[in-house]
Amino acid sequence: MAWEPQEDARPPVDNPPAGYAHLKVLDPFEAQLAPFYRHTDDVAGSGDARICYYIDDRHVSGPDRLATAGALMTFADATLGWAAWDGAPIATIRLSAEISKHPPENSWVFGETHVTARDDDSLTIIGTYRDENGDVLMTVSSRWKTFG
Amino acid sequence: MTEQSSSEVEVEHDDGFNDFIGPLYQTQVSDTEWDFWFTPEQRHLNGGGAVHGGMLMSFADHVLGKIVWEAVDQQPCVTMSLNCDFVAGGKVGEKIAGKAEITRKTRSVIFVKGELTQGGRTVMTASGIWKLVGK
Repeated sequence: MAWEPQEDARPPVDNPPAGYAHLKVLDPFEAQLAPFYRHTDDVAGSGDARICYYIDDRHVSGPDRLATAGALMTFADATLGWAAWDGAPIATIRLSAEISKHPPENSWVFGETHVTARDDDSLTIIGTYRDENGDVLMTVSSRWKTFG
Repeated sequence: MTEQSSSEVEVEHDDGFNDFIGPLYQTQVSDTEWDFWFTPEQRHLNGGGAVHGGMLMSFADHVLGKIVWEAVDQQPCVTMSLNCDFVAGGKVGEKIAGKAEITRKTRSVIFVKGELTQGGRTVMTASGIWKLVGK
């Protein structure tokens, strides 16, 4: 299997939030939950990235139709990985999420990532995820192994 | 729930996330103990051919969450915190099993830890805190 652009399970919206454009994901599992959108000013591998996605019926559970931790953490893994990925293979070795609020179906989630430490073979990346009002939904810290 | 055999059941369908990523399976071993599993397919993988971390975290959230939900007599509860260590890569086509146990239960929050294995090898360890809704 190769790291190739995947076909999203659902097509991207015509009008994503201002400044954002469709992001082609490279992982089949992420494509199941996609589409995702990246800020057009940001570059993969730079460490700092802004990415958003729309919570729909695939991402929620329960009578209140709230996004699951699994869906939110998959989105976090995808966004942190995109921010860190400069073309060389990387792998998540730890991801810790603090969820303050589970967003409802039919709402946007906006993530911002930042590399806080980097050495020869690992990266530490944090992410903050907010709703459309700017309220924090989740904070994530992660450690990544880099190869090559 | 969908009957698989006398002791194996597919996770109850909720028309949501677990249906979407599943099928996920579980069987009750004792009053407080459950076994969980799923078999990774191509759609669960990353671009490198290993099981995607998001799928493993989603399964861990389900495994730990189910143990918590049973421990609080099926009251509504949500994930507050989930920490996942990716110990080894998961392979396609071979069952990944999940187990979890309660570490501590208070009036409003529940501490839980668990492990995912494949062929007897640990692929993920996880710990988390769940909150009882409205407490």
